Amino acid sequence: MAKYYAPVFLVVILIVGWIVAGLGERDLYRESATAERSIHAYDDPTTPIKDISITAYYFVPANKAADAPDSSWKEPLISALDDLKRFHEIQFAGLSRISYTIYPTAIIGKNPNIFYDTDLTERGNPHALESITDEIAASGSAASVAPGAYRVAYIIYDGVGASGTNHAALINRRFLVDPAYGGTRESLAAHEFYHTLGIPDGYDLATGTSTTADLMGLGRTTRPLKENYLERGTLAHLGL
Amino acid sequence: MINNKLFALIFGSPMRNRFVLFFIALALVPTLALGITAIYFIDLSHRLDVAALETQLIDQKIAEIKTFFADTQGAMDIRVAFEQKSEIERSQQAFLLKGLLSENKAFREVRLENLAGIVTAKDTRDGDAEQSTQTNLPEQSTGGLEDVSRLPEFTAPKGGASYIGPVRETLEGPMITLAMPVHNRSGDIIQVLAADISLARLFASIGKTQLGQSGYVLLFDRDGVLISSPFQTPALGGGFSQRERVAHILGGGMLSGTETKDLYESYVNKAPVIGAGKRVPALGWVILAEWPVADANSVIDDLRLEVLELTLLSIAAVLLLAPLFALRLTRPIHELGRAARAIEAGKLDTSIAIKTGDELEELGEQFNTMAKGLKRLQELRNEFVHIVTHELRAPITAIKYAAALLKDGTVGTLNEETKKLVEPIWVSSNHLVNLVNDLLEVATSEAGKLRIAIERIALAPIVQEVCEELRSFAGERHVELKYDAPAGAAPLPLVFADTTRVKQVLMNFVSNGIKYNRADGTVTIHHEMTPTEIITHVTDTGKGMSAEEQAHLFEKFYRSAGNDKKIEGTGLGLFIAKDLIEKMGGTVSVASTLGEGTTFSFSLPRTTA
Repeated sequence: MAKYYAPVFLVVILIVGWIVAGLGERDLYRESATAERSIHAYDDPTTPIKDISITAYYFVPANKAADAPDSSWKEPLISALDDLKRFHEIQFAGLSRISYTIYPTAIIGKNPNIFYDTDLTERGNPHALESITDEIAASGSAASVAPGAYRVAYIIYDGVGASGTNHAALINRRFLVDPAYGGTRESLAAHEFYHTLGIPDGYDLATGTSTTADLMGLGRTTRPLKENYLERGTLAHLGL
Repeated sequence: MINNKLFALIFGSPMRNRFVLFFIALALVPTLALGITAIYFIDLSHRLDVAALETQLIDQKIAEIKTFFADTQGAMDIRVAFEQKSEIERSQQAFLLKGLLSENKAFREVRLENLAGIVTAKDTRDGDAEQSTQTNLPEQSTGGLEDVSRLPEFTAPKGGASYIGPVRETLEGPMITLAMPVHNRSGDIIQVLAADISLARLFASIGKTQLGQSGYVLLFDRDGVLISSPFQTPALGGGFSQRERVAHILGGGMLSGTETKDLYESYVNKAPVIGAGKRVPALGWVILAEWPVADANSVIDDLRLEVLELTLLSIAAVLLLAPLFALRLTRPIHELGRAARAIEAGKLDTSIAIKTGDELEELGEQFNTMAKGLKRLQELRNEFVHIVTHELRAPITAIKYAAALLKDGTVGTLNEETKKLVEPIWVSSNHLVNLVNDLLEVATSEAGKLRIAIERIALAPIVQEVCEELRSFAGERHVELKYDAPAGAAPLPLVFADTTRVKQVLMNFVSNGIKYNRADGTVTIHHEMTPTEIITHVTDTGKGMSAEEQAHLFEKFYRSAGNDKKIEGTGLGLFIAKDLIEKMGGTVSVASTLGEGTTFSFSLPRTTA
């Protein structure tokens, strides 16, 4: 009969162990895994924009070099870039971040402003952007960026227009300092920056009629950056 | 050794084991069943309670959201008093917008749009201040402040529908755009009223919602974007529409909080949570209440622990008490067994005291009665044997004496034929006398009538006397009788014994040694001293005995199967010798090796001198 002791006690211990360890405990439900989100340039999953590195330049045409401010051009630029950083972090849910450096001195162009400017500023001034970026690159002033970071050249220009294309944006310095642009100046600056990621305009270039209410459309001129946003549809093209 | 005894004490009784297992099974099955059932139902009840609390909280939050939008849209539901199908006067538009801003703090910007999609007036709140900035299109102006004709916030209300835009994250907090048609008295749409609404206070209220210590509420919009969370992290963005739970609710389902899949790892903090969720009607948002398991179950864990402790305590008590109960039941039976063995060993005055107040006590009393009966029977038998042997001894002795006279020729010379007849008479009568004497000795002893006078005596003279008396007998058998008396100055210490009885024992041992010896053998007597005893050894050079024979040697009427039947003996001599030595406080033993001989020994208590 003693031989039954061990099995009986084993059964008791097992039952008690089961009560202690598992009775009433439910298993954690495991959801099927979803693909990791990858934040990338507009409609370009091969170009990650997790880290965006901006190098900002102040570019002055040769004929305006004498009138260029000594260092006061930096302050509004820093303010605009800081606002852009915060805005970007909110819009991208922290999945993409901006860092920036400012080229310390103004870059004096080789040509007068007539060379860079155009009469057709409805489309920004892509000619100036192209010419100036080429000139900066040729001068050896282009800053190096961290490996893997998405590189952006952001140019404050003592001329006319505002424009943006992949990896480069240009904005008339007046937009940042003229009181006429008031509360929307940071929105304008940000609008041009987002073109560097490939985001298109949210308005009809021919008529000027907005097709979106966000920063890329109506919001660029009607809302301050702190109340602005990027539309869901736009963010979806960026991997969000 | 101790472990063996302990093991025997615990497991050595099959009946007790059976009782123990029976008790354990009988007590543990209901205890465990009760514990398991209690824990199961406590857990089930708690699970339903948690789900009910979560659902109740969700319903409260849905009501809060609905109230917020009902208030906001109610304020924007404008129907002008005139019937003309024209826009409101510009001056009135400004007044109307100012009123809206002051009425509801959630309005950040309000604007009126004409049916061409041109903003004709707008009023923007300056931060949280009461002041606002108005921008109005001058009366009769054909231009516009802004062209919104292609935006859904205009096209939907122009078609008669209310517009609720997506929630958008801004540096000022979560915002939403609402737009509604403005009607004239006839119900015609004359303008569109759009407003940017701050959701910060609504979401703050939802974010502060707490279940227990750490439960919280998450809010997703109709695109599956997380728009409200209590965690101080940036908004987590979209992508949740593809997640199983959010997709399920967006598809019209709900999470009850009671299903298996409602216990999961939270999307936002990766903690195991119990979740319930519903869809917010009209808005299509998803609201999820998540309660970390550790917190939600803290109460139930305590309760489960208490039930568990109680169950374990019961089990421990059963395991502890079952052997005691079994022992209580089996002890009288073991007492009966022990007493039965004592009676088997001849201890007929054995009695047991069982005080259980039941059939076992009754059985114990019957056992004692039986033992008394047996003792009385033995006393009667002993008395009978004593009387019979006493009465037989005189006539048998007379017969033996007469046969001796005839055999010896004292009463005349017998012819050979008569001698042959007298010889068996003499042998038989001699055997009968010895038998009767031995039986009388045994009966006297068992009747407690044997008289032994203990005194200080010297062993050596007794041994020498016995040797002298048996020397001629030994000579007849060609056996040498040797006594290794203690030599030197130190004499053998005295012993406490009866001289007659010691001599009787020695006579028995030595005569046996002679009788069962081989021709030319020896019988040697020597002593051994211990601090308390003197042991006397009688060693012969006979054929020895097996261990089996040695084990029964001192039993009454035992005669070894290998004995020469011609050798006289009653089978009582060694029994009597053992009885006498033990009555004098000593012990008797035998050591024998087949083919080598046998040593009988007896010990007697010695004096210290």
